[in-house]
Amino acid sequence: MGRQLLSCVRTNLLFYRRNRLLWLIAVVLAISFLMTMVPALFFQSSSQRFEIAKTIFEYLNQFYFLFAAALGLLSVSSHLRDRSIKMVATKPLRPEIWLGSHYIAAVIVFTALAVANLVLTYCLFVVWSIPLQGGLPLLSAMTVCRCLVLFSFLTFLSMKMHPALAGVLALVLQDGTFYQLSLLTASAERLATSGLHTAFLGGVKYGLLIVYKVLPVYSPYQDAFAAVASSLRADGSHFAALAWTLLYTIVFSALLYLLAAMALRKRRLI
Amino acid sequence: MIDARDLRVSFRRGRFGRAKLHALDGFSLAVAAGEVVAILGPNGCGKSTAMHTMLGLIQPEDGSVRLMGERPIPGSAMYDRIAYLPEEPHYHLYLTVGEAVRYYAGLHRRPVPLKKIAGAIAAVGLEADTDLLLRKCSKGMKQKVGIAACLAVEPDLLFLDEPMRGLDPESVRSFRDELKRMNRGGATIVLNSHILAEVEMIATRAVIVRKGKVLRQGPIEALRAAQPDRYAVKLALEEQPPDYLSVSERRDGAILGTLPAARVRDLFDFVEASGGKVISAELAKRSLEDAFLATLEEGAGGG
Repeated sequence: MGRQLLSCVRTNLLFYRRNRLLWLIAVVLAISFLMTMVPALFFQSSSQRFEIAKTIFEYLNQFYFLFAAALGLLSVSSHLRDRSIKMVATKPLRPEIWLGSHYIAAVIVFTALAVANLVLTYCLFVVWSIPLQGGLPLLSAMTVCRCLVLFSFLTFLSMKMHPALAGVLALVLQDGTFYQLSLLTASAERLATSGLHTAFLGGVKYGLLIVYKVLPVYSPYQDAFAAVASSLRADGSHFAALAWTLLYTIVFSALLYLLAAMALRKRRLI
Repeated sequence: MIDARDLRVSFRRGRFGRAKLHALDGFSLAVAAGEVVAILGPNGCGKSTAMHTMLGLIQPEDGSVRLMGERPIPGSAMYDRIAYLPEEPHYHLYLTVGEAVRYYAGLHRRPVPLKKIAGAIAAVGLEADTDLLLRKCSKGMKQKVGIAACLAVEPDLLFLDEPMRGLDPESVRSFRDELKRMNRGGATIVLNSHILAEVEMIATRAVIVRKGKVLRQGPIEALRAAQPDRYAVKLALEEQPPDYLSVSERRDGAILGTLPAARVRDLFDFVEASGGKVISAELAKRSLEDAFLATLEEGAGGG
């Protein structure tokens, strides 16, 4: 199984390397990054340099998050849509292994990008003589987790519907939106005058809360990490939050993987 | 090697899937180890569906399939001994020829040495194009990639769906030789093809299918022998030839055609009475094509 998995992962990495659409997305994001950041590099004071290095680090992490979305939308769905899965389904390879190889390849890419960003930022710190900060690796690990959650969610959605529709749906289905809606509904419920209205709004509120609980959370423990993102310093409590984030990422990705594997089993692969 | 019994597969068609198309309607086939079996039939008769069902890629509504004594489950270890060339392969176009063959071979559990992969690529004549991206390959070259992937794993059971499609005559010949070599080595081969002349050269047995049912099956020789003798004649004739003569060509005032052996005497009398001349008459070689067409005609006549 290991050899089969390795063969699939290697091929997925070649797919990323040679996919023109992914390159186009990467180039557009890189151009927007350069246009935003290059003028800032000419600032001279050390405090501004710290802010610039931090902004570059954050900006690149955002870039990776968007790139993860592109991978999630394209990675599995393009193989299903161009029906090259047919060549895999007729081999002694379980579809679940093939699907798993896409997750592994994606994690490799996310980790490589996060490490590259970390190295670049540390280089800037050294060149500009800014003291190195321990919060950066923590934020990089967070980025990998966020990317994997998004990738899992979009991979599953793009298997069930057209990738464009999946992208729109992922934009609409934001956990924050549903949380705010549930708070609004709770307020309305308190102000309702008739029992019928109260019961109806109560039902809507619980419905919204259920959707909120089911939806992916891209930044769990966001409050815990807000201080790290601002000062780039971390202590033991932050690492505990990272451990929980990692656990959430693994559980959520595994669940989505299982759902995607079930969807793949039901699908006609030839 | 293969034991498919009374397979029934239907697909939903039309608006809201209300219409039902019976792709396989009681299809049965038994293939012994070492045989080369050709499944023949008109377009849409269920040849590819039969192959997919035998491979376990489509679950039949009724009937049973056993491959090498086991129920076929896609992805199971049994597939290590099976290779399949689909009719419409959809390759990973972002891979090169070499990468693709290595990838498809790499999906088998038992390791395939690089030497064997290189040998399979050379056997289909693509050794000079190993670094060419599949998206830049012609249809025939892509077909060769699929064939090379099948050859590389040296399977015990080989399913080929229209394997000669898009191949040039030279490649057809070398592929035919390769199949014969594999068969001599003990491989069982099941193939679908419309090129009956090729089938005659490779297959030991043919199965003629129509509307998802096996109309006739047997050794190629037996199918050919079951046809009544026919004569091929060349006549110099001014008049309209009789109905029992199937005219194939009119050239330089001569008529070429075939007719059942029992009517040769009648034709000679007709030509003599018309003032014409029999230029040549010889016993025609009975071909698989004749057997195939006659079986389909009988099948159509029978409902």
